[in-house]
Amino acid sequence: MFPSLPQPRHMPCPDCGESVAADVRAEHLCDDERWLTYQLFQLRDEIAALEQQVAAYLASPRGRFELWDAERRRHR
Amino acid sequence: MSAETKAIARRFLEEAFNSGNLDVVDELVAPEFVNNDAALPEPAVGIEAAKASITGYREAFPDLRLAIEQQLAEGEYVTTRWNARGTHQGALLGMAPTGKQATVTGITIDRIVDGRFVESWTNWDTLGLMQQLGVVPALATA
Repeated sequence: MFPSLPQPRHMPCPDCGESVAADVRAEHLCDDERWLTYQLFQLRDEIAALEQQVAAYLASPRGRFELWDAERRRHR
Repeated sequence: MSAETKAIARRFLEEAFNSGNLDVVDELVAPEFVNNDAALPEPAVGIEAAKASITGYREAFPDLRLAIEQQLAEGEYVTTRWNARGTHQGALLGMAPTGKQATVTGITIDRIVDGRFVESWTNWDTLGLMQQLGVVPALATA
């Protein structure tokens, strides 16, 4: 329907998500902090799922035993 | 009058959209206010609708910054050409947050009577936003 639909003047950097104007795209360098924030944001579902899995494991009989055992070894 | 309407429009953008101060909506928006935003399916009427619109954009882009590029005023009307930049961290128009930063431009015409907004018409680059957020594919130019 729109065979020649152009890109907008600004597009997010695929690595850090920063909005970068077309005329400076070639010179763009990712800010480390922004890069990390963006990458973590993309992984937020996996991180949340992992946290749920860890919490569920620690609440299981085996997980509770491992917590108890770790605490015991810490005091040894 | 022109300087006054320009200042009111500027104050509204800066305080409501950039700072999230919704008290300014109570102060500057008339109860019968009609907000004609091209991104909304129908005009939004009233003070609470204006607050909901601002809150919606700010929840989607918590670091939202609007910058005024130009203002023209005549009588009760003031036209503001602006750009907005923010990071998409909350749902917007049905789009799940992407974490991407986007920049869009827009033009708003406000009608201000007795120091209060009574109607606004805004056209902004909704397609560009969709492209930047990856909802609509941005095709490379030939």
